[in-house]
Amino acid sequence: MAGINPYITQGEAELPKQKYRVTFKMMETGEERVIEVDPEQIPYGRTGRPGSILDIALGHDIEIEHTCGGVCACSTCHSIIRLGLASCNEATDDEEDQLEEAPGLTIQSRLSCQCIPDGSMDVVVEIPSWNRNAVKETPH
Amino acid sequence: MPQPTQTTRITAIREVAPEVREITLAAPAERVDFQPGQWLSLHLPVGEKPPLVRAYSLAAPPSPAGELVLCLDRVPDGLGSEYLFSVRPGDEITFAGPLGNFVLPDTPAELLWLARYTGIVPFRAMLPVLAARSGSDRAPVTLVYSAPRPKDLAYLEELRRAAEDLPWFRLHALVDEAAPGWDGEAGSALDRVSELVGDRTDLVPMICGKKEFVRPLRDHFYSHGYERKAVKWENYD
Repeated sequence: MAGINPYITQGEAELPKQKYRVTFKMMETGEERVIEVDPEQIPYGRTGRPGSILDIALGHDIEIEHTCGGVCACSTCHSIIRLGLASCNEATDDEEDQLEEAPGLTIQSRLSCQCIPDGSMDVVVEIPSWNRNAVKETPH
Repeated sequence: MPQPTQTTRITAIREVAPEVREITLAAPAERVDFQPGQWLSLHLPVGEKPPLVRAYSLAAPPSPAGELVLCLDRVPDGLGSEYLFSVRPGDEITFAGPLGNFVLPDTPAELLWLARYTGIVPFRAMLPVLAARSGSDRAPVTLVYSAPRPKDLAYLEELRRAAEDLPWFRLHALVDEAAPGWDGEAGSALDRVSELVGDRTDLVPMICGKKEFVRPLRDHFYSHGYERKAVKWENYD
């Protein structure tokens, strides 16, 4: 699997034009990190959609599980956008299908590899600690 | 808690088509029980912030010895595949898994498998398992297998043999343009699928390839009366 999907049909996303902050709350350790996202630096790496929560996290040495390599083929990068969800691109049906497999689903849940804030507000992300090994073996 | 990983060694590498290689991994310490169609999450020592995590489908069913077979194509400018085209037998590979939901459905219904290029890999793992558990009266399984050129159709000879041996398995090998010496079909998979499916809504379509292959086929089924969840698919880009 390649790291970046070149096809626009995966759902439109507006990349940020101004700097904004993402607060990562690691629920497993209680650690909290505040990252200032610089639009000039996007993409931070080659995993997840450019400018996604996963791209930002991995670019700043924040571990988020992403067993499929960040191509919307699993649910292990599930995160909860506690603040700033309105500034993020809409989840596609494909993302929703994967999220259905994630334990502890909430209405603020997203796949980190697909969720791209537009920078119009600061964002607070919870990285869940539970049961990241569990993968339901049911056909999608 | 992160996904548990384990490390094993590469025991064999073979080219199954140009720029497509099969990598065999020695049985890891902890046996990997998987369903055909699932993939491993490889943790590769490359990129600016290693490990680079990339997923690759398993190309053979579970073996008694517990070895694992992967198959992948070289992606231009792809960090993961470039690395995996540089490794040799004896090198170590760290992985997590198995993972993935693109597996054989628990139904006796007729299956329609649609694969493009290395999208054949999960089906190649599924076919022997299906053959072992099925009688000669099983509902048909039709594989439409497309690739740019005849030589890009990895595993073609064994699939042709299976189509001769298994009364319920039908193979349509398809290339983009007819080539000298090519005795299979040519043209678009979408056209072929449209002819094969017609008005039927009782098939179980399973599609694997890149998004540019999967999406138009998926949309074809949706627009012909198939529910969203009735179409199973996997893309890897």
